Amino acid sequence: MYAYTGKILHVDLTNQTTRVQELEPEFLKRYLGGVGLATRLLYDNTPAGCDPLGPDNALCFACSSFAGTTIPVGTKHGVASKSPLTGFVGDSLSGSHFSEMLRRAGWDGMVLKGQAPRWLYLVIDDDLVRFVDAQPYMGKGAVEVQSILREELGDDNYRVSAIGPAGEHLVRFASIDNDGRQVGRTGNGAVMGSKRLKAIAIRGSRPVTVADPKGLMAASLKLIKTSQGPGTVKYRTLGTPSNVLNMNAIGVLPTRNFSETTFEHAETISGEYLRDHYRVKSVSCSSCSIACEQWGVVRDGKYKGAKIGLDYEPLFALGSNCGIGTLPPIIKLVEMSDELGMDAMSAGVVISWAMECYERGLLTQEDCDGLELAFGNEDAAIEVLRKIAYREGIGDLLAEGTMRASERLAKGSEHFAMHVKGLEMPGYDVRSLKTFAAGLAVGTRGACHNRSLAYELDIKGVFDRFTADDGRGKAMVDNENFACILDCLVLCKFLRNCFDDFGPDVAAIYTMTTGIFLTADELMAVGERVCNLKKAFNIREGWTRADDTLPPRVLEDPIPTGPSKGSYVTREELDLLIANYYQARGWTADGLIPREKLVELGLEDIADEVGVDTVPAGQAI
Amino acid sequence: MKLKVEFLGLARELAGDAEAVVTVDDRATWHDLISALADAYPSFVGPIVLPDRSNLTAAYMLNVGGRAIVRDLDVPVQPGQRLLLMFAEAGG
Repeated sequence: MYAYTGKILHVDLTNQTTRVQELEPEFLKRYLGGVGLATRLLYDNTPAGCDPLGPDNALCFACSSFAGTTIPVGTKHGVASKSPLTGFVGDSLSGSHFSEMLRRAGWDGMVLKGQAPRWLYLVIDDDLVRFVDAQPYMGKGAVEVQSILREELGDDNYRVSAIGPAGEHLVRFASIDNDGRQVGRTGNGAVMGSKRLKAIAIRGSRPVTVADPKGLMAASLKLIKTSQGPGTVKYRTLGTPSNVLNMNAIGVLPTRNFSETTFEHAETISGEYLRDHYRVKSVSCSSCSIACEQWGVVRDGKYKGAKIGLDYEPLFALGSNCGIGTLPPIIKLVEMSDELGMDAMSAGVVISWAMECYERGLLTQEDCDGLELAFGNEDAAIEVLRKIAYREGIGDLLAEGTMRASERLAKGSEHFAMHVKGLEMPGYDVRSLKTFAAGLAVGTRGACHNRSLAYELDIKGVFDRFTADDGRGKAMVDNENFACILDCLVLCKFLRNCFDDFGPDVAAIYTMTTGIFLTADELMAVGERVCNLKKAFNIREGWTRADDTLPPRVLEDPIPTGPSKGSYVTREELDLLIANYYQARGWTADGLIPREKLVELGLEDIADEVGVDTVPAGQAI
Repeated sequence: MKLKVEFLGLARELAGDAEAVVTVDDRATWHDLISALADAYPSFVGPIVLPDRSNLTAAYMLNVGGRAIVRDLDVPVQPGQRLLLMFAEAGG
């Protein structure tokens, strides 16, 4: 076996002990790495019904299959735990040198359990694991502390994953930062904080060897070349911020808490405007040949000096969705989100929810600690973002995430609480993207565009985005499985149009890397297996059909203006599309997984626990 | 007829403008419009328009009125439509 080390490091933070789990090639081939391996480790190491912020929740890291190799855009890691936002599977990804260093240290992944008696950080030097007092670093920013630790450890080769104040204060959407990239969504930073673990510093000395160096180098060079071609031109020119004007033009840009879908200031927060006025350079993740991240710097005014890499999702969440129409405060807000250590998407959406509550009189200025939390008030947004990280005043409510905050406030605010299963919505108003709407509703981690990929079906016109009809289930499943394969390998989704024939090409690359023979069919089966595994985890945690739904605003409020005016998703349309999806998955009409389906996917070991003996949806009894 | 085309992303950068008015025959198809755009903006050829000018590259699409994607290039263009030349890829 090459590339893989075949070893998982288990760390018990309560007792400060470690143990090693050996993995067989056949096991690795079934989950590959990244999200697949992390989810399997989560399933096996987390008891059903545990408190996500308690010691029993396992925080699982897994390297990509290609970490440390010459394959471009493939050195990432996946993290999974039971999400404190959703109570379901919380899987997330990050581009990272951390992944490469974890592998060089001899590990394909880590499982962190327990709760340290006092704040610690881990230092991993190959096989040696040290538990070090983190008290001096408490309150440090998630990015700042990485430099501090590297300096104190005396070697820049250490790669560090760390949480910021938000993780320390158990903000339910806290992130884990490494090298300015984040394991962002679903609150894995809060899980790390609940374990009183401030950071993990890793240094590895082992080479990463591959089975077929010559073949892999040829494949790598080819992929580097195609990653510079038309399939990635959007990402290489303006990066994902180019979505702002695109989404605005077709009437799906979330604006003022998803109440509108066009923003009068879209131009001045666009990728085009960023390039012309604020961009200083494009930045790439580890081993990436695309470099999509656009670094913007504010050179004057009251946000002078603020600088950050901007992607579309934080841009929409803290920009148009909060009614903020200029880039300097958005750059400042995203910079703060990263340093405070929280998911800028969830932060932006929960702030926009609070702004709408304020404008409707459901939250008063007194409730908001004297802040005038109206749409467009950038000063208030900046202050409330800080308050969230430290759970001060109104920030304590918002740190719970949109679902819990709206349930606590009530007063009808649940109607415009924009989440699925507790995870805040991404940057698409899905009232006129109906296939994608259903894709978000059935998402195992909640409202996630990257897990669904169904936006492509609507935006590229594969389906009429304003209608819902039979026959979309298979395409939804195919896109979700494809996204999942990329998340397991891990390959960046921006590479998805860079292969001549994805299955055979990538299976061959995997075999050249690991020496484990993988066919195209086996590769494609991983996507379906891991999607089902994630669903199985949720079923074990008490998922029911009622959890696959959308915010009432999406189901009841027509879009008021713009190109998508009048559109919304009726409950009948959503039910139809979900039924299509379940049927295409081979699940029951209630969305449960038949026992024989789990066996077919090689998940027989969990079939008795979560599988049902029944007839799949759409089949005659 | 004269058609106004809005440019987004790379198209705007290459054109140096946010929109343009393109003149085509009254019976022009979408294919003719793409060809006219390539004539007006030679730098589009390659990254946005295929070298043989037969179609847009996979990276780009034409959207009509913010609501519909142009799929059949042999269909005649209608006057008065809002046309968007935009990246095909979403996601981020």
